[in-house]
Amino acid sequence: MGIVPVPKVRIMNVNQGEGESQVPSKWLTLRDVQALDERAALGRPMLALRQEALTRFLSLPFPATNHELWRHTKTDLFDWEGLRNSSVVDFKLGLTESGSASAASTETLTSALPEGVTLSVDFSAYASQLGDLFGERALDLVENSPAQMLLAAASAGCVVHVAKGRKIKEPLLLSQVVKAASTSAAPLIVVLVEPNASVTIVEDIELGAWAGLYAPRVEVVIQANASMEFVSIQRLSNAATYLGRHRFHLLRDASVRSIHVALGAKTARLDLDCKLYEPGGQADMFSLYLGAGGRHVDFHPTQWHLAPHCRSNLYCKGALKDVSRSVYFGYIRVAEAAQKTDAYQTNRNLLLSPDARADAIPNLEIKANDVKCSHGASIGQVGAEELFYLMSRGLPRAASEKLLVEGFFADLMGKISSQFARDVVDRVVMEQLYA
Amino acid sequence: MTATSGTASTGSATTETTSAATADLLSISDLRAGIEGKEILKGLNLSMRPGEVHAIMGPNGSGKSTLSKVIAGHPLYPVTSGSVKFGGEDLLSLEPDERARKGVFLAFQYPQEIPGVSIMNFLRTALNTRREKDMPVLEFRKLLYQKMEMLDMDKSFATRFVNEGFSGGEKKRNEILQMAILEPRLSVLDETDSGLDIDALKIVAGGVNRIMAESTNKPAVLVITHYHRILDHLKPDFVHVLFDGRIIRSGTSDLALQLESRGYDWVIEESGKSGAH
Repeated sequence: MGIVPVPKVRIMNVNQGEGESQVPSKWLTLRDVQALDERAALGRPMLALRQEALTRFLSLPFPATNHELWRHTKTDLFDWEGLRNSSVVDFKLGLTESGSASAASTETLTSALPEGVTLSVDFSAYASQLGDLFGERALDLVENSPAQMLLAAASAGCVVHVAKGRKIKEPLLLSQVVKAASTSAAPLIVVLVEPNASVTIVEDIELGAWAGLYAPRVEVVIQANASMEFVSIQRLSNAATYLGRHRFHLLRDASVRSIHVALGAKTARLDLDCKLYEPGGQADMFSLYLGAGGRHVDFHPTQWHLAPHCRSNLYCKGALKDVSRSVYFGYIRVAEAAQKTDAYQTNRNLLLSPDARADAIPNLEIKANDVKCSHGASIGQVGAEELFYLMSRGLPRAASEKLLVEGFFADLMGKISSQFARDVVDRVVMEQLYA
Repeated sequence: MTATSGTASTGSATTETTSAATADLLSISDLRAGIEGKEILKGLNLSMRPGEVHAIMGPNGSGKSTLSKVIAGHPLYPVTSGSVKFGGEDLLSLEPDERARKGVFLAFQYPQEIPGVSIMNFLRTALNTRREKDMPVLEFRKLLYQKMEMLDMDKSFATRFVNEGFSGGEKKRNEILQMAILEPRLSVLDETDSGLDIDALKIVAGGVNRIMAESTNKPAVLVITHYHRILDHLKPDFVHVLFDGRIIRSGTSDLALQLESRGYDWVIEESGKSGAH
């Protein structure tokens, strides 16, 4: 039996046939996949998985620009074809130096990991689990075809494994460095947290002036009664693009707390799924995004309630200036069997310039009849009365606005428990908004 | 510049030696202003000197709140004509933050909530805009606690977000706390007494009195109020009646007592509603 049960209820989306296009066969061939597999060297089971993913990718239509999930962020913003030549990624996992932003550099990571935590690039030992994770044949939908391509084209990978019962107090930093001067990287990161274990993992995606497509796929499995905190900071250069798929798979009484911060790239899209397979699951997910310059940031969170008595809450805020743009497309999906679900989603946007734009599209698909679900979204500007109040105390306009933006993000910043992460986010947000 | 004045227009024996044309701290002349095209102030005149307490009383709609917003520089209340001078300099051409740094302070009638910004952080930032060098955090905290104690405010307020979840009385007290920290030269109290019970009123008025006594820059206070109550505890040197956008009568604190017992009608009738002063 694998680690992830096949859902008894299928959440099916009626594919109406529009918004599809033919996949150009040159995008990814079997030869490409074999070459990528050889370069990445993730162990024998991966090749079979990749081939299966490739087959499914080529058989599914690719989302066209009028597909609901890609309408606001056109698929042609990403260099899919370039993924054939993705580069290897160097992974390191270690303790962060407290309070030091420079801890992101791999030299300062301590090499010794706490007992019970392993980092490996060989997926062989996890063959059956991976099969379950990526199996999901029930969900062969158009919107999944990009994900299939990313799996087939994975250019690097690692597994972080936390053994049963191990409670790791110190946050661990997973650093990712792109080795070659390449135009894309597609890492596959699996985090496996065994029953009763707990761990905090921080990733700080900072690749200097690198201008390629970074397309990570992160699969986190939190088994019975285990808990995990995940902090993900994305601050790629303004010439790079980011296409991420993060998924949390929660089993019985598992809990996850996540903070995703999007501060970089010219186009950034993150699909964040939280899947609650068994009763007792708890998920608190927070997200902060920043638009500056001409950035386009797209966030697709989905809370999947597949079992009863689970709770999930997604709280997301963004501030946008210049001509930047954000899209928030959130979903809460509750299966028929998921009675007593508590699920909430909130998105708040602050526009700091007349040309900035935010779109918020929250959705609910509820098939059970005894649930509590709500979602809320708002888009607003800095309040004129608040601004006047601060200015009337002597703060110049820019300083007043800055204080109001700090106030806007204050509750989210309070959710970041890692001092290292808080310092980075604080500094970068203020730099981008008020440099 | 040398002393020139030989006229003793105020009856004072001292001659003025400042280079400014007048000793007035605030000098409002024929001020006309309104909101959304409607004129509310219709030629208002007022002079205040350092250290003086002036009260402006008047019925609803007379323009009391508009006056305070115009002095502070609220963008929605444009001035159509007239002048306002502060310390001899034109005030109307300055942005709200510039006016504040020159020493103008408005205690709002309806103070704004500023979520996510603590009182400590906010006030230290505001104070530092008036200083050459930032005040160290520890020194500021000591100053803040001292002023909070004077106003009988619990220390826990320092880390609370500005006005968030505060009762009406707490918000008003927070305004006076800001006044205590920022030490303005002119404070406009816009109906600070509204919504306060007698105990809170005494604390607020007592706070203002103490600020005036302890401050080194002879602050003047303009108390805008509908009711007489606060003037029992914050004694005005001058009382003005504002009606239909003009000051129609000025007097001493006795005038306030008369208004309390007789209302506004008699003043309005006696002035013939013309308002010229």
